[in-house]
Amino acid sequence: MTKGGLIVGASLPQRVVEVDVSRMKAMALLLRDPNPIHWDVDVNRRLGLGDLPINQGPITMSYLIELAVQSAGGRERIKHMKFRFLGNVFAGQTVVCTGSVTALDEAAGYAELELVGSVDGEAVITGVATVELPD
Amino acid sequence: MVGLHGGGLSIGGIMEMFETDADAGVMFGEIEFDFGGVVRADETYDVAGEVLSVDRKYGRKAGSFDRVKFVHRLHASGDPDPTVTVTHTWIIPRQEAA
Repeated sequence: MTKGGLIVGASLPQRVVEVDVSRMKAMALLLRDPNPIHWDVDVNRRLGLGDLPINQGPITMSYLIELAVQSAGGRERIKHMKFRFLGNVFAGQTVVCTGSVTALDEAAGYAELELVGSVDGEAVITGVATVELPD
Repeated sequence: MVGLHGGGLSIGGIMEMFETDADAGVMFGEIEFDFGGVVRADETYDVAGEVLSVDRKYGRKAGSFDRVKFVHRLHASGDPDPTVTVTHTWIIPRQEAA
């Protein structure tokens, strides 16, 4: 075990988040995001994207960022993150966020975390984060 | 978010630059953050951005689309090293080219 309590292969505490459509509207305002797929289901139907508002990628990503921040012990410890969006996340769905420690370099003071957000068992977003270990 | 606002182009403005619009079904593909420091409230940052690549792709389900990669770099005023570098990849449907 390290000072940060991270062990290679260890699972991170699971987070479960229900996708709230009101947050999509708030994010659309904050981002000045004109993309109607987040609120206009008629557009989604026309585009073949389903019958529900689609969560903004940054909101879905934030679920995994929060998991990384909690595991690292603070947002200032996050040094690098990369996320890949694999599928749409719809209003009302439940995103299960899991992760594990995939590498640890105590000498350099860094750990690497693998992060996955899933809906009904299917990965909708994956990510990696490099976090700084506590002194 | 700071990069998008500070870069001088809104999401709509970026769509316009890539000759698409909000009804096209534009999606995030990937996003990457490199932190050289912590972004703090009440600090002033300079933001610069550039397009890194545009690749035309074809998927059976998605049809023709462009994979557009661009970057925003946030610098605390006077600091030559970026506080954070954000590299975005957007998927822009190009149905007219299908």
